[in-house]
Amino acid sequence: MAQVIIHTNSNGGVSVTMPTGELPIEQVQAKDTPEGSIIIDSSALPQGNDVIYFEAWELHGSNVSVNISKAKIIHTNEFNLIAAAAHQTRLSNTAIGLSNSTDDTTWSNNIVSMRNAIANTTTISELVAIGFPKP
Amino acid sequence: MAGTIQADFLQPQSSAGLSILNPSGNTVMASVNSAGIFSSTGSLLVANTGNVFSTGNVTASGTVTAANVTASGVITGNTITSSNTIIATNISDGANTTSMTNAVLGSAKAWVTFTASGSTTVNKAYGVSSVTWNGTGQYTVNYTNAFADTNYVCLAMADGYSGSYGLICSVDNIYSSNTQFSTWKNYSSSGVNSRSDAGYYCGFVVHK
Repeated sequence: MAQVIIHTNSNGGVSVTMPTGELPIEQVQAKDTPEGSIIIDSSALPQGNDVIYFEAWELHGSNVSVNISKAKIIHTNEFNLIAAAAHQTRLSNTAIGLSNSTDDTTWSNNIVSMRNAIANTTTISELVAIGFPKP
Repeated sequence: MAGTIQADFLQPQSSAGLSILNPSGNTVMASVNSAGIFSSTGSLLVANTGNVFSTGNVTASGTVTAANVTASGVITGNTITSSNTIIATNISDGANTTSMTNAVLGSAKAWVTFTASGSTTVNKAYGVSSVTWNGTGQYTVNYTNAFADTNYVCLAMADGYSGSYGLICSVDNIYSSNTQFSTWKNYSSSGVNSRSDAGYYCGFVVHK
């Protein structure tokens, strides 16, 4: 399994440095990463849905885990962007005579419901299952 | 003449140059200094740190190997190998010729292809020691050897997780030892962008 170098970055997240193999990993660590970085197997990094919330990763010792509070903020920000885009699409559909998936009231209520679900979720898998609004 | 010629130093006395016709052998010397044309139907192997200098042409049907190979005329060989420098104005494959300046300045100085998602993988690279994944859609390409300055051109292209949508790439910071760039997806209907990981493919090339 490939090895990577990880360190806590200035945003409090985790930076992952992938050596190309041109230099020994210890040399890459000294040259390309700050003091205090550590070498781990890439298999030890969060996988699956956890990767979606990369900026919610936190390094504790040599373990990387996902902070669910940060993940919810990330999901909410993405949710709002997609909701705004979906709203624009709904307006365009109306203007050019195309139908939307639901009427405006139902759609707005669904947005609120999904946003509440994000606030109440406790796991990454639940967060992913909530998904994002559609036009 | 068959076999191998070996000499510490070989220099023709006339400007007509020196020809060694030894189809089955090689010419091995510490150095070659020819006022005229030097040619060999075998290989020209200049031992150790020896050099080849010729005011005419250097021609070998086999391999030309030396620390430095310099000629005012044409250097010809199946393979020309130098542990140091080959100095030439033009370079040719026998049919097509281009200037050495074009070959030197026109070639990529560094490149890398990688993905940054569940499998943080560098696929292939040249002149790049590592790629750092700093945040969603935020990367630093670290060069094996720092450039003398930041006057270089970098290009990136990327694809998202499923390969079903392309990403927009932008340069964030350019340093002599690394380049920081971002990959973005576009919510076209609202014009709103957000950073997104190049989970399917990212290619990055530097020219200088």
